[in-house]
Amino acid sequence: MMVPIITLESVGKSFGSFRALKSVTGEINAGEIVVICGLSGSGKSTLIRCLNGLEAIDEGRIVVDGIDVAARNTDLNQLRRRIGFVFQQYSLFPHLTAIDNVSIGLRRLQRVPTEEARARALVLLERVGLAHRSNYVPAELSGGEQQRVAIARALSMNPPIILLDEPTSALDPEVVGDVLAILQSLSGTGITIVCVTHEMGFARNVGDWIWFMEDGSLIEKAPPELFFSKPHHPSAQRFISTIWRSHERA
Amino acid sequence: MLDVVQQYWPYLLFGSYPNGPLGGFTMTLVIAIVSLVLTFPSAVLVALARTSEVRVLEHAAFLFVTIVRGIPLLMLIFWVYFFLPVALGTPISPFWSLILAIVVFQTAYLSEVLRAAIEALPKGQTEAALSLGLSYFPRIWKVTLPQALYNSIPGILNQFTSMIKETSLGYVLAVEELTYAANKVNNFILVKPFSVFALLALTYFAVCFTLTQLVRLLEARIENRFTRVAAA
Repeated sequence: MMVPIITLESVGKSFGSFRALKSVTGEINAGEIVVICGLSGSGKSTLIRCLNGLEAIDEGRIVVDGIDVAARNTDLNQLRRRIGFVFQQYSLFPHLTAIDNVSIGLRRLQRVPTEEARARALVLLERVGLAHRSNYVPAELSGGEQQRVAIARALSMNPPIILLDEPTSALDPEVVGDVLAILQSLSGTGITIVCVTHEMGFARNVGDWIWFMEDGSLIEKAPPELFFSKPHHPSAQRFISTIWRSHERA
Repeated sequence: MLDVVQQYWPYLLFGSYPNGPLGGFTMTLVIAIVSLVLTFPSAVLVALARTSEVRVLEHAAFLFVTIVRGIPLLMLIFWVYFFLPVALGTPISPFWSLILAIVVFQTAYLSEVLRAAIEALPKGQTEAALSLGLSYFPRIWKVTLPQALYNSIPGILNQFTSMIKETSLGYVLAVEELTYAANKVNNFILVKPFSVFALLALTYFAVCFTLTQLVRLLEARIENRFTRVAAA
């Protein structure tokens, strides 16, 4: 039997009087790729940010890699070392070169000697096709390149889980494919991926599950073939037809 | 004015040095630089306290800044000079009294400059550091401060120009800095107060003007380097 690596039990979260998450329940098994989709403001980003404790939940329980994220005695720093996170706006450290952005975790947290940390960072940069840019600072890299460095940084601690919050939304259309190809190359490596995205082609080809959210609720969980051919919920049907229409226009 | 310069320049520049104590313009610079060197780390600590999530530290730092900003520097100098020796039971030289007063005063102002720079960093920077699992000190030391300090170099230099001017208050404690020296020269000549004090004004102006020009240059450079990444 599969043991879930991420478990959500009736998770609720409010910002003031706005209920961003309403009783979200779900499980993700190790090595699975889950794509979270839904309209803006449906709670996708909040949900993924709750998984590594960037947002604190108000109700329910989240267990990641055997650790209760919201428990008082949880060392979030320890947990976060086992969860890579990629932001929509890349959020690289602008004063550090690409290689230092990728090696900072190894050096500061695992006390890996500088030379070895840089060698390991270079391997990761190679993997995202940016070894030749290792000594550039973020301002000298394009958006797509910055996001690839950010993925390398998220992978630097060799985490079993990686979370991505709309990793391609801020990118120019022509480089979206590069970033998605890197994510696709991670599938099947045993790493668990949770990705918030509007890229339905990616969701369909790479995802194991689609989670569809609306108004803070997780209203549909299905494998991509089912989700795209026979969505249960009327909102999901509407969402899919809107997405396909905008794809045809493009 | 030139004759004043010709006759008294060694005294105005160095005081009685090397035959007596150092003074004059050199003393002004020494006080300003020592003050800056001491103010800088204490302002960083106060700014970190104010931006920390530890409420006690935050409130204490806020109280310190509010009180110090509410009193004139001259009064602070008197408090340090007259009250502190009584409280500590040991005399403090006018030189160190002046520096201590300037450091306390400027720590309040400079900490606000640094706090603004820390708070102006994009939220994603802290979140990215948190997501890596970096704890407080490496996060501050490797991510927050390098960026915040770099961005506030113009503000730091700006406070430094204020400090240079504030050293002239050493006059009231008979610290032999430039203003004190100029006044002594004036008392000696008696008939040329305009020349003496115009020279004094020009000297302060030249130093501060040079610094503000430097600030302008740096501002342009910093803007160039960070505009593209500001959104990230």
